[in-house]
Formats: sequence, structure tokens, C-alpha cells
Amino acid sequence: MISLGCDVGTITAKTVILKDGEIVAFDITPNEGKLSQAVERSVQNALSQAGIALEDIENRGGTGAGERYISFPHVTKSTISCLSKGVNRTVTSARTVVDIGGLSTTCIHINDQGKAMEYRTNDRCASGTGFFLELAAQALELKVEDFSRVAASAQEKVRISAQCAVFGESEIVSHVNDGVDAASIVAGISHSIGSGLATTARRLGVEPEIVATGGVAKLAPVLKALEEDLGVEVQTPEWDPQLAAAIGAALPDTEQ
Amino acid sequence: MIVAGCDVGSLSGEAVVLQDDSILAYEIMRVRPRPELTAEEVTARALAKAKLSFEDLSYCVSTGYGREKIPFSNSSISEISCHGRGAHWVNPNVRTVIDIGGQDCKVIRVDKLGYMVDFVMNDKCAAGTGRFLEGMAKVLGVELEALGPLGLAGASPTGITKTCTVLAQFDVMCLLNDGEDRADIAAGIGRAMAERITKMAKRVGVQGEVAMTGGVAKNAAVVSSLQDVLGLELYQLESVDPQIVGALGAALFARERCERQERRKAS
Amino acid sequence: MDTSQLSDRKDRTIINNYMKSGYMGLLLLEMEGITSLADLGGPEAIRGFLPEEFQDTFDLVQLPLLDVILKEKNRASAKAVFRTAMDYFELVNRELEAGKPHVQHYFAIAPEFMWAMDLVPVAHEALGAISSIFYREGCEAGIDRTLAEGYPDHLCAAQTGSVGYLLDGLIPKPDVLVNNSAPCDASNMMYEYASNKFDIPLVMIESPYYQNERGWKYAITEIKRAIEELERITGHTLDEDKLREHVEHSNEAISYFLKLQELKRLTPMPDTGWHRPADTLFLIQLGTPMSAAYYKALYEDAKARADRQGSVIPEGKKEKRLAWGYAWMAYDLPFFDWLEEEHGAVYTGDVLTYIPPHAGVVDTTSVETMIEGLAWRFMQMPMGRQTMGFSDVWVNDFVTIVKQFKVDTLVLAGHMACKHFWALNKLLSDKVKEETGVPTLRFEVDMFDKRFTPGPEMRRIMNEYFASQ
Repeated sequence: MISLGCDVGTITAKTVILKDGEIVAFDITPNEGKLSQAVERSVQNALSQAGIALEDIENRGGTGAGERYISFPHVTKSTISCLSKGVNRTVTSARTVVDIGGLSTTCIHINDQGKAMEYRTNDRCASGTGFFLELAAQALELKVEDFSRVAASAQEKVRISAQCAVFGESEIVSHVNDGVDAASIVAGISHSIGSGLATTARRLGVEPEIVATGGVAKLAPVLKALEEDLGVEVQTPEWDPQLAAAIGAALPDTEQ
Repeated sequence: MIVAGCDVGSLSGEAVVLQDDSILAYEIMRVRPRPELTAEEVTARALAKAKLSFEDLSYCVSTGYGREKIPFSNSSISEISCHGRGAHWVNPNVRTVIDIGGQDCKVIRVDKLGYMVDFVMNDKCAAGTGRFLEGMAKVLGVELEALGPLGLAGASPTGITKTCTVLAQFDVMCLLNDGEDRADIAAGIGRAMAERITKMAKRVGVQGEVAMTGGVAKNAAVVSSLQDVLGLELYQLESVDPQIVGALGAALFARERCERQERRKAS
Repeated sequence: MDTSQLSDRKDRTIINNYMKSGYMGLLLLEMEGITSLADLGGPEAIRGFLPEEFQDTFDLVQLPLLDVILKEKNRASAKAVFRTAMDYFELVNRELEAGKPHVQHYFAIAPEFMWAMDLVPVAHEALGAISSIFYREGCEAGIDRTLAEGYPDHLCAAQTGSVGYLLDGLIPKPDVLVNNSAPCDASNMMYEYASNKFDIPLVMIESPYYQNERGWKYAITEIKRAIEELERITGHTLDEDKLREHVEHSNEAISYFLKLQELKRLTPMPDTGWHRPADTLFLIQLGTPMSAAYYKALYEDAKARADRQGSVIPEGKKEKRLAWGYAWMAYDLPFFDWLEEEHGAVYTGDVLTYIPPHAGVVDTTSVETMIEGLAWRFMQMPMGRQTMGFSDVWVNDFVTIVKQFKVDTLVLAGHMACKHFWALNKLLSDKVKEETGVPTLRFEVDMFDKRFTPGPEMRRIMNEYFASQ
């Protein structure tokens, strides 16, 4: 059985095509301000990869903050449900999902069926989100994907005190101007985001096993900081963690 | 007596050279990596415009970010006092100053001599600051300077409800995707800004003539919205660039302190 | 206090508005053949059918609220709400005209003893909050006015609406202010401020910390002291017969309140949710005949529905039972109706509409027994009950509510500035989870100011929640 899931986030649009529960194609396309176009492109890319036409896929799910920009007929699913089911597909022992998205962070308690039992979300403020990382990357003249590699060589980490994503960027700029090396700055940023996440997770209550999802979950230094702060292991799935909600949207039994 | 004031902000630095009660020259430039460098360069450039050099200065006051670190300044004074003083010099009827800078926004009340009486400031969060507008201009795909005129062309301002600059940007992105009119969105941005500032202004109390200073004073849509929401006409600085008001105030304090110094020497 | 020392109570704009809004609501409910504003040609047309003097009032009131009250299921409770608003404020106007000393007090201090002293007691907070409930602009003008005086925007807005109205001369200046130390410093400070600003004597009643015999004995001495202070300030004394009369009214009101509370245990839920904020606010009328009539009408409506096993949600929807671990949002009563219609989610209890059954009947044998009973009830009133002492009262009340009302979701729509609540909120959700397995949904609101978390945002949050279940 073939199904398609599309997660339209605040920074990227993600598409996943599943065949009998396995990922056969996926795509991540940056929005760059044009949501409808990004969705189109992402879906087309995934379809070409899978060598299949949209008309041949009956089961389609959509989710995310920009879900209404998906133009083709699909079932709208709640992002919380998609994240939960998306993780549960391969990690049935997961009980806490920590999702770090573009503009919000969410912690979810799930059961062994991948049903969301309780959750907490911070969407009032962009502190500690993917957006902040994008700003930081610009200030450092790096790409977010480089962060893991760069932080690996850090001897120390510099302190980032600003809560606000926008002001945090200025702080980074002044560190750069003061001659602090990129590695220490990235290590400092990772630490600040990781410990912020730990606080959010603790507010919900941390129940092992913990799985991190979302684009920011691809950054090893952030996960390490989160783990150290929580004192519990944080896993990432074997597939790209940014795809969690799109996978959940593609799964047929995800709640609407 | 020739004095100078320099003001280093988060995005720009300014300097004003004052002789007695006249502005001889002024300069505005984008900041250098360190405040000392900005202060030195902007003051040097202003002096050069007046065909003067640092030796001609009797006194210099620095304000803004890193003001205590400026090697050539004689003393440093908070930008709040300087903004109030500077705006009051341009129009002695001014009793309230709204300053919207790159990374903070403040409302200052001054007495009839231009000295600061009360103020309220937001420097914890980018909402209501120049950064907010910068981010929005980027999302709308226009230059910062074009945001104001675009907003003025808007017939009905779109409501922008999110306080957080970043979250509001995503909302604007969606509005654009939904085909909302860009001019209306720009007008809505001006309005959101005005409402935030007005809330602050009411905390400190709006009295007398109200002047607007700082870079954002040049955004016509914000000014227009602010007048609308406050329900009064803002005094707009015409003879003096609103961006140099802080440096001007610093120069006035420089003159005052220099005069005091002279009097003490004489007695 | 002789009449020359009394405040001139000419500032009646808000009180008159409330009275007229009550009347206007009743007129609308009496119009033939309308079950929504879309009937008869829409809001403009309906406005045209109202007598001229009520058209201005119509312009103040939230249109979605009027739509909700015209629905068949909400009519009976709506009539109760508008009737009581009209009658109560008419009474207040009459008593003010009669030149009696005017007291404004904290809403959780039941006013029977003040009526019995021939004073005119009105809850200060309600004077602002009722605007939130009825009007499009809420009490925002009052809030902003108070903030302009320097009140911080990170503290509770409960009194800011009414203090702003005092500053702008929209409500009468009281002759005396009466406050109790519960719930918090922020509210206490507002009374101090009003007292200093307008030079009004302030009587403070200290709320006991603990819900026990010792606390009760202390509350009795405090109520007695308050009566003495009021006697000293106003020259009026407590009349036993009057006290009995007012206590009999409040006994009746409280007994209907508790009977209504019992009905909320039933499935399907027989009580509509839209009027809960009014249920709290109209506790201020305790001691007057209006208040007994109000809770009686609500009880009868719910009882009739319960007897025929009727529900408040559409046919075919599965009933979801919510408890609000903080309370309601005053600015969007239609939201609670929307929850019923859209999600089949009914409103069981919250911290401000819960009174423990033992708060019950006051013994009217003598002044002594009445004061003792009123003191005990004073300790059980919302806000006062939960906010002194440790968190156990609030937490345990919710475990009780969840169990008794068969709640399946606890919603903590916490008032943004309430430090009591935010300090205990995790204890509360943990304990409820531990004892009942019920999960919690959490978000922030400002109870009186729609600008903080507007209606559409609340609906988005609830939609996401129900979609994930």
C-alpha cells in the first residue's frame, strides 16, 4: 500500500512516500517565504524519486503550520498525532518525543501504540528553535548543517545569555567581532538550546525512552547538551528526524 | 567653544559637532565591529566635515553602547538623557520623546529644560524595535526604506496579532501566500508597531509636544499609525535628522560640562 | 458619616450600562421567531427593532454573545443572566439614590453583613469584569487607563478594569473599601492604591491560612472586627433582622448553587457552559433576592434537561468532559458554547465556580450563629479557599472535581499573572494524573483581556488538542 505524507513547517516543507510502511522516497525543501511553491516542489521531488504519479496514491495526509497550502486533496492530520505515530513506527519503545521545529518546540508523551497522551508546546516565542539557528548560521557565515562538524573541535563554549532569538543573534555577532572562534560559539549556542529544551521536557515530565525529532535534532552538540542536562539518553531515529511528522501524516492510522 | 557628542547604537553610530548653539556638522555611519572604532571614525568624519580635528574639541561626551570605553571622550551619559535633551533642543515645547532604535524602544519624559524626568524602555525583546521592521521588510522583499511608503499606500491595515517578531514574520509569510495586499500588510506592520509603542507611552504618560527620534522615525507608515493610535500629532524633527538626536544631546551635555569646568577654573 | 460626607455617586455610566444591557438582553429574548442574529434580516435589522434607548447598548455588546444566547438550549440560562444583571444593578442604583454609604469590596467577601448595616455593597472587580463578559471592547479601556498610571502589565488584571473606571469617573467613588488578604499581593495593592488615590478608608479583613477550626475562629474575629470598623466609619450598625433576611436569601442562593453543582456529575451534562463566568461574578449578589432567583433558574433549567436525559451537545457527538483547572476566560463566553457545538466538549467545573458542599446553610438563630456561619462560608468562597496556605486545597479540590464530575481532560488555561497558580500548576497536573490518569492541556490567557490570547488562538489550541486525541 502506497501513501504520501506532507508536513508544511515554518522553515521547510517535507514529503515522505511510504510503501507498506517503509520509506521509499522523501524530500525536504526550504520554504524561502513561498509556501505553496515549496510544497509543490517537495511533493514533485518525492514523487520523481519514487517513480510514481500523485494520482496513483490514494492515501495522502497533510500536517504542519502551513498545511493549508497543500493544494491537492488530502486528509488533514494533527501535528502532535503525526509526530507521535511517526516516531512509533520504528521506535515502539519511545515514550517521550521532543520535537524541535522551526518556530516551536513540543514535548509529547506517547504510548506503545504511538498515541499522544499529553503534550506541552512552546509557541509563544522563537527562543531555542530552528529559526534561531538559521540566524546564528548567518551571523557565523556557516550553514546550519556545518554546526555539528564545527562544534566538534570546540575547546570551550561561550555563554549566550539572550533569550530572544533576535537578540541572541546580536550577541553572536559581538562574539565574532571580539574574535571568539566559531567552534566555541556554536558549542555555546548548542548548549543554550539543549538546556532550554531540557527545561521544557522536564515541565512535561521525562519518561524514557526519549526520541528527538525535527531539524534541530540533527545537531549532535544540541542533543548532547540535552542529554547531559536531563541525565537520560536521547535517541534519534535511524531515518532523518526532520521527517517525523511527514511520516506520521503518511501513515494510514494516524488520528485526524 | 567647540564640543562634540557621539552615539554608538546597535546598527549605526552618529556624531555631532557643536559650536556655541549651532550644529557645525554631523555624521551617520553603519557600526564597525567595536564601539570604540565606530565612535572614533564617526567623530573624525564629522570633524572633517567641519574642517576641524580632535585638537579643536574642548569637550566630548559619548553615549550609547560601549560609551564608557571611548578613549577620547571626557565623560559618558546614558542615551536616555541624551535623547531627551537633544529632542528638546530642537523644540523646547517637547516634553515626551519616543525613540525607536535598532534593538530597543523607549519613551522618555523631559522637563522644561530638557532633563529626563521618567522613562520606560524595552530592551528584552525585539518587538517594537527597528529589528522588527527589518525582519518584516525582508519577508515582504523590500528595502527597509521602502517599507514606510509601501505602508502608507495600504488602504486597510492587516491585523498582526503575534507579539514575537519572529512568529509575526511567519504570519506575514502566510498572508503573502494567501494573496493579501502587500501595502495593507505593510500598513498592518506599522500599526502593530504603533500599538506596542503606545502601550509603553501610556505607562510613562504622554505630555506636551511629543517628538519621535531614532531611525524608525523615518518610517512614514509607523509615524502615521502612531499618530492615529496615540490620537495626537507628533512633532517631527525637520531641521535635524532624527537619527542624530542622541549625539546632539551628548554634545549639549558636553557644552554644559565644559562651561561648568571653565567656571570652576575661573573661580 | 452623615450624608454630607458621602461621595456623590453621580458616576453611574457603567452601572447604568449593565442595567440596560440586562434589559436589552431580555427584550431580544422576547422577540418572536429569532433563534440567531441572522433572523429577521441580521443584526442591523434586529437593532432597528429595539427601542431607541437600547440601540446604543446593542452597539456595545458582543454580537457572537447575542447569537449564543438566542439558541434554544441557552435561552433559559440567558434569561437568568440578563434578568439578574438588570435587577441587581437597578437595586444598586436605587440604594445609591437613597443616599446610603457605598462600599466596594473584594468579590469573594459575601456582602450580607454589609447589606444588613444598610450600606450599599458592590464587588469592585465585577464592575470591571462584567464589561469583559458583555462588551466588544471588554474592560480594556479601564485596564489601559490603570496601566497608564504605572500599574505593571505583568500583574493580574482583575482590578485594573474597575480601577480604571474609577480614575475615569465611570463608576461611583465608594465611601469605604473592604478587602481581604486573599488571594494575593497584587490585588491587595490595588485596594491600597485606590484608597490612597481617592482618600477612601480601607477596611482589611485578614483571610486565615488554614481550612480548619483555628482558621475559622480567626475568620470570625476578623469579620467582627470589620463590622466594628464599618460601624465606626459609617455610623451604621448591624441590624439582626436585616441580617437574617439577607442570610436567608443567600442560604437559598447557595443551596441552589450546590444543587446545580450536584447535577454537573451527570452524564450527559445537563448544564450549558456559556454562562460560567457569570455564575462566579453573580456570587457578588449573595444576600439579595436576585441571587437566589439566578441560581434557582439555572438549577431548574439543568434539572429539566437532566430529567429528560437531554444533553447540551449536538446529536451524535461523543461527550468530552472538561474541567478548567484555573477558570474561564471572561472575554469570550461564546467559546464555551463553541466547544460544546464543535467538539462535544462540556464544562464541568473550575476553581471559581466550585464551592465545597459543606459551605452550605448558615444558621440564622442569632447574630452570633449567623456571623459564625458567614465566616465559615467566607473561607469557602472561590479565590479565598484555594489561595491561602499550601497548594493542597487547590490540588485536592481538582482531584475531587475530576473524579466526581467524571472529567476526561483537565485544561489549565492559566491566568498569565497568577503566581499562585503557576507555582502549583505542575503539582496539580501531576497529582490529577497520578490519582485519575487524566491528562492536562496547558496554555496561558489573561482572563479579562482578550488581546493576550484572542478567541481564534484559543480555538486553534483546542482544535489541535482534540485532533490529537
